[in-house]
Amino acid sequence: MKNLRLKAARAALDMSQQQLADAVGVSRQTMNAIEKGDYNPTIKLCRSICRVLGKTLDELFWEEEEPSAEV
Amino acid sequence: MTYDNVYAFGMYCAIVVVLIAIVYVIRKKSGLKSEKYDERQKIIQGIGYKYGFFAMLISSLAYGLMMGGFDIPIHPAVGITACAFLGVGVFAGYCIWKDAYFGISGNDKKTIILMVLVVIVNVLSVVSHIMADTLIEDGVLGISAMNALCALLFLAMLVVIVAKRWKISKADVRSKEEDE
Repeated sequence: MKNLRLKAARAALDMSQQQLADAVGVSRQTMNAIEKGDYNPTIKLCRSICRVLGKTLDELFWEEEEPSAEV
Repeated sequence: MTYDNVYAFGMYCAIVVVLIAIVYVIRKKSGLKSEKYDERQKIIQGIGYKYGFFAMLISSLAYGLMMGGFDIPIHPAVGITACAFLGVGVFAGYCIWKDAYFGISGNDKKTIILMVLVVIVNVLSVVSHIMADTLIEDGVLGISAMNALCALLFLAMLVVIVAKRWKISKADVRSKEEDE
């Protein structure tokens, strides 16, 4: 699942994927994979991203569970 | 092993040792640090090692079995090297395709230039062997075919790099269109 909140937060700061990747110390492809939902980052990397974007872990990475269908 | 083969093997070893020494001295003098990889790249490299290892293992077993059953006109050193190169090729190809071969800096130009040079030098060597009629010795693909293997390995890596770059450029265009 795509992480559109991360993409939006990055775009709000007018940062490119490369700039955010450089700021947190990963490759641009890794940042792209995180945004596309192809890679689940470690908590350490999540924290670095949050720190750079000025967001909390919940705001960027917490996924609300969909309510299960009532029987 | 004949005297010529031992001599050639000794020459190869000497060249490899000298090259390693030169690279070591250059890196130390220029203060170059080894390439850094991020967490995703390290995971991909681990998977790549696994695939490369199994590719080498299976091809070595197949080659060993074929050697026992058939009379393959290939020098044993060439056969074993081909298996090792297959393992290296699988590892490198997988890592390149998954963006884990070049480090965080993405500074791949020097490596690509080096690969092209390796291909050119080895192709020239193969051509000279063909012209001197020394590629096949007594009906057997001789040890000089190692150059062909080396050229093939690096050529395959270059092909994967080009294909990957083409894929990335296409994906970038698509994501820009989505953003607009």
